[in-house]
Amino acid sequence: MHALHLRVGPISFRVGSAWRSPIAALRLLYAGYPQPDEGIATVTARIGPPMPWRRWIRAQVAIAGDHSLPDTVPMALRHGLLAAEMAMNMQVALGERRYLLLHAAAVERGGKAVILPGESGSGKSTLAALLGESGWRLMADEFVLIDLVSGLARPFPRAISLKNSAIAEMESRIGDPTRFGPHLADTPKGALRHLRPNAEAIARMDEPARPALILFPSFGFDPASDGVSRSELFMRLTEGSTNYVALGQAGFEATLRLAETVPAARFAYPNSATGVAIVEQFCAEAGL
Amino acid sequence: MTARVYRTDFPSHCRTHPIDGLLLVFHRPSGTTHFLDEPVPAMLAELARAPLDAAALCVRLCERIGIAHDEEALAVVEARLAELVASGLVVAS
Amino acid sequence: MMSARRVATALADPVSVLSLAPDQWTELLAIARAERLDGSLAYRLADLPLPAPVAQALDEARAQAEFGRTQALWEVEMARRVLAPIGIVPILLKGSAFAFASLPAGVGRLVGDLDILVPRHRLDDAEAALLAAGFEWAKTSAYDQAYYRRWMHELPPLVHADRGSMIDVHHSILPPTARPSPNAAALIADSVEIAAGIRILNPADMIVHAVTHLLADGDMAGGLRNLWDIDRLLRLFASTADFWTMLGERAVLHDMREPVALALRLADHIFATPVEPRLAGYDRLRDGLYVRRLLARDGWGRPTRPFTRLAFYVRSHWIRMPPLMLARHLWTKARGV
Repeated sequence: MHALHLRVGPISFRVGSAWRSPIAALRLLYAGYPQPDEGIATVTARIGPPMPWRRWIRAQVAIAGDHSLPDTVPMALRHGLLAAEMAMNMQVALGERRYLLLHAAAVERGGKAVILPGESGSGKSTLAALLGESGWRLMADEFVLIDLVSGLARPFPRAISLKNSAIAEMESRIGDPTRFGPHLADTPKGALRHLRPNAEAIARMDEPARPALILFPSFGFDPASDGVSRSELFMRLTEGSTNYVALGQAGFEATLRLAETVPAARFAYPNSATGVAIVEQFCAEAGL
Repeated sequence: MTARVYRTDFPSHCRTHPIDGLLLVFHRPSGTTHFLDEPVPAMLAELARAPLDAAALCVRLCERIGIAHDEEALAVVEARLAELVASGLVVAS
Repeated sequence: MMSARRVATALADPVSVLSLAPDQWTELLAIARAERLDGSLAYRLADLPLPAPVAQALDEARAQAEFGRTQALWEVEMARRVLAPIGIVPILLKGSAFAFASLPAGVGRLVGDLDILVPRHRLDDAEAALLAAGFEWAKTSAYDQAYYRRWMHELPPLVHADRGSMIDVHHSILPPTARPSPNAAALIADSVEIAAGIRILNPADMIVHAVTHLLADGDMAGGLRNLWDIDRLLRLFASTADFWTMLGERAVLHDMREPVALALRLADHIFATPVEPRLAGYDRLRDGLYVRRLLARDGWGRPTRPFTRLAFYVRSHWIRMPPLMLARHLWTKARGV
């Protein structure tokens, strides 16, 4: 088994692979990330063949680890890096119990965090990536971690998943080619390329921030925006959390505190530039 | 056949919070979160005072709200009671 | 590779973990999770000075165990509400029993389905009441329904439409076609009322049931956790006068003398459980095979020794169903009926 150990924010991974190439690609993608605290990785993710003979013959990659789901479809070996990322995501989604998980991106400026919840296709990752290159610090693009006691957002800056047209957009924006992973064609999510967060995001991965604004993006529509009431915000936050129920009352209290104290809105946008501009406008109005 | 009697110990074992005119409830024994809209909080308040059957609850509820207690109102009360029993907030005997 | 031995050692002798190297901690956590013993491990190690990352990981395991316990107790309560009005007092089995009765075996244990035991003649009533309360059949093929009702000791599994939880309603603890034939009537008659509307097995029967679950009822997947349950239960019950005598008598009554003896020897081997030597008997050559099967994990938590696993799987079906019936069942399953 080929292995890589790394720390991203408060989570330390041991990633295992039956093949060498996905681990090599993962190591390059996460260059500069710290090792686990005290050398102890506490979360295990791994990729391997679903059947032993699938290791080399028409190789198939299944995702597994401490936690796994029964119906995941195996992937091709050329998408091994994506599979490794998905295996890591699965451990967090199914196993995290210290922090409330929101399926969201987040960026920080002046100690305040703007949270962008959304499923795949909402464009949150691309918006966060762009904001992260224009004066904001990227905290997360997939999972936002909310401290159950303090209510602060803890950074979890994993590699950003760029899909389809967002790839070219970020390639033209970012001069350093070593920040990109390999171009992956025909993945289950279309064309995909991973982008490593910039040096500032990595260096400050242990600095939390106070959630100050929650914005729900919808990509592909004419510009429009609307407020989100506290009750709707509560509901949408719980819907977008994989561990809300498992956290019991602590999850309830943390979500309620966000719903009661953080202003929220939704907005639609036709392209990234407009999306970024709308976010900046909301922030200006909120005094951020 | 005697009618089923409904009882509740609400809001014991619950963390409640009013929000936008609704009542948010975290029910500790089941770990479930509920969003309750009227008339359900009023129904729970009545049952908390004394166990009642559906018809008696309907009468009390309609008096409380100030509407006539008719067949339609009773149907609504019975439907909500079934949901409350399924959720565990109310026990039927 | 028998890497689950490290989890067993950590559970049996918590202080032993203080000498673990960083990589060994990572492996221990992965194996404990694979064996669903991470919650139990977390409670066993709670008072030790642990490296911060390990302490945090074990906090998470405890949080998960707490959540699981809440869910399990709630399912017990909802089942009670459904069955009490029709005069059925369910006997809780396995994890739900441990959690409800606050037994040491329940500490940190993750509970899956709710398993209850009811008298066979009340089975139809229980089924009707549960279906009316929002439960549905989990396995819906006609063959599976017929198979369960004809050959098994339980109704087909029921899953709740809203809560998603599962309930297994048993009328005995092994299939009627199985070689050992436990005495279901005695299990029920000698059960203990633990709260209004809820019963559990008496201590000796609880051990016998845990042994059926470990040895006679499955392919020993997850067996280490079952053996840990047995260790915890034995240590608690052994402090009662006459417990070992009772265990011996109940084992004979339920036709489980040899399996109970084997379980005692395995618990002694793996967890150093103090056991009554006359009940445990002499070590057998085959015991080593069981020990290897129970500990068969690598440092990534993957099960090892596929051939041994298959042998156990075939063997466990042989215990449940005599060979001719087994062949027919496997043939029908393979055809995809």
